[in-house]
Amino acid sequence: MEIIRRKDIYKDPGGIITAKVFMYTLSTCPWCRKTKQFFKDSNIPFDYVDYDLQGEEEQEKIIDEMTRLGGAMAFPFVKIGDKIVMGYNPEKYSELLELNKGKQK
Amino acid sequence: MTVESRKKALRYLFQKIVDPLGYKFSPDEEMVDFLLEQEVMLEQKHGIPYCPCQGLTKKREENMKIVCPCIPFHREHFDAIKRCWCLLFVTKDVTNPNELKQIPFNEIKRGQDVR
Repeated sequence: MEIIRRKDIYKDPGGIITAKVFMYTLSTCPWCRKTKQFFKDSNIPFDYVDYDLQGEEEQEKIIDEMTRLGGAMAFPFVKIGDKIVMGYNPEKYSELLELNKGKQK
Repeated sequence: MTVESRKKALRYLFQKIVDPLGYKFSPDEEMVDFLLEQEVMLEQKHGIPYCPCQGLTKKREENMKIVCPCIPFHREHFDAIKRCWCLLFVTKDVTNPNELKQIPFNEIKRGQDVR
């Protein structure tokens, strides 16, 4: 699979792809849905947590993490390896995942 | 009141609020319809039509800043990206909402600081 290029994004021990893409999303937000769809369409495995469906205590933890890592609380909040992308930004996701690298000459 | 009739009512109300602010509904009708529906759901749950694309917290004063239309509380940010975070509203000069990127405010501020 051509997508496995960066060790900080994927591990491939014994052919098993381990997702290093994680996102905080809102169940009510169409841009969060589009973000999930982008990764599905790109065959990139990911995990996510819908912030609005969590309890108060968990939400507090998520706010702390988002503020610490991204400096703001903005959804969708996508972690690709150690990089953070806030907002729906397929170009940035592709760049970080090096999705288009194989297509370039 | 049905979801459809409440969507219509919110559309009528919001139009009157955003027009003097220099904004209009996005030309993407499908997106507008979806967002209004989410707002009606949020209103049914919380009693207030909050922005579906921003997270509620325990702080009431912060939550009040994401009641739709939240443009007055995010004026600098939304004016810079010509849209609200959801893309329910765009500035009046916008004809193609698909060209508008969802850029967080801290990135815009960082760009301004660099200049």
